[in-house]
Amino acid sequence: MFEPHSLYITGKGTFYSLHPLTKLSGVLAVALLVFLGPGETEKIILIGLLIFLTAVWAGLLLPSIKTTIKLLLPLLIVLVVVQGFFYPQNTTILFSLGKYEYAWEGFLYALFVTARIGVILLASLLFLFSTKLSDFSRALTISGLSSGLVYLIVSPIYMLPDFADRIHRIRESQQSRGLDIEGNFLVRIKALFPLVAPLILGALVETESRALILETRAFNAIGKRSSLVEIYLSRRERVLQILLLTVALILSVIGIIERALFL
Amino acid sequence: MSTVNQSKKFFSTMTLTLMAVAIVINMVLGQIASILKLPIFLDSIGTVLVGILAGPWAGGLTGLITNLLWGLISDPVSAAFAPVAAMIGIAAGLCAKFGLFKTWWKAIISGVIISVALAIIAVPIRLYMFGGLTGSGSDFITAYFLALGRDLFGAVIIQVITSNLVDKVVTALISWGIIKALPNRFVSRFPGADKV
Repeated sequence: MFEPHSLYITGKGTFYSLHPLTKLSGVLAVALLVFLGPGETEKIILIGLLIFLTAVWAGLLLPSIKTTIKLLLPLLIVLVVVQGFFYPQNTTILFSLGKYEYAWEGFLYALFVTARIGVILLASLLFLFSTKLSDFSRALTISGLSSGLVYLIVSPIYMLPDFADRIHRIRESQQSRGLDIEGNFLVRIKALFPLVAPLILGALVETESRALILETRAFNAIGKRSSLVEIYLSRRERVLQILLLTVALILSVIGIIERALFL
Repeated sequence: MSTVNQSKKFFSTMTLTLMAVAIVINMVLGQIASILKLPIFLDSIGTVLVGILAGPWAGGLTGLITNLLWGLISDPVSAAFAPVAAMIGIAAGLCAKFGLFKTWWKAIISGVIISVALAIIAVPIRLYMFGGLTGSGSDFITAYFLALGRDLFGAVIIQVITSNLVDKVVTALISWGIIKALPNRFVSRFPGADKV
């Protein structure tokens, strides 16, 4: 089967063979806990440590840390500069630059915000690196999600390369008709519609045939369908999924109540 | 009633394929913006088109899934902004319901309304999740207004609206142009046909 572009990194092991929805439950639990669970810095460090260990276990430590840094470094730099100067609770001045003062509290806040996103990012990367998109879509299909929703999630990924190709073709044919795409700003703005319209009009008009194709293949038929590739969800993993999400939800509620009481 | 039947009630197969294609359009149009070196995102034309043709909920779902898929195949951070993309679709759908995509100058008004509406969702996400900044070029606007003495909340509102205004007005205008160029036979198949 054609495997679309994704972040998947070839590998094997117990973590790899976990059901895609188990890993996704883990990511959701981490995101919930990081933002809503009780505790502040110590919580982030604890969750971060757990994910770090999971990354080692999955054999994905190096690529996941590399990608996290690549994605978050710009944010970290801007935050460290801007919050250091402008964080409202700034008191401990480290140095000043003209009339602006750089403070320790803002610096710490910048690190805290980045670490919070970094932890969630790391968790989602472990899921993305270890899960084939085709396995994920198969898991969604048999999970009981409505077939329409599964179609919306899965089909765009498979259409993507074809559409990227069309942009290339449209650009070449419009240029061969004399469209200027490299002049000044006004020229480039004028070139926008001739490039965008053929792509969208073509794509929209063909939605009708796409719908007919789905209908002729019994897309709306009622009843369970058999599948060529079966994904097995063990009882143990089913319990694990429910456990992860329930614990995260309970802790989130505790965290929300705690904050409401102490604010 | 099973979920399959429910979804059938909400979206006909034709609306479904329209949404799928719109999601792909959202994902690839950024390429055209970068070919032309234009400082706009162009990542919500599909969402706005679905909002106009198939209503606010279908539009919202299109935006939501676009960002979740981006998160799945390239940058997980964009999934955090999925509610913003959903708001764009909902706002566009509501504008269309009130006839705000009938002429080109009404489309401009829709673009402005969409920019303000998305700020309602985007500002809290930026403030609470990202400490007010995102690590993109438009952070300079935020930093500039902070240096002028604004608080972070005000600076982020200004940043979100200014960096989206041009993009959403262009998006609304292109969407209006596309709807006008589509054959009537096609448009009339969708629930929003009489509003444009």
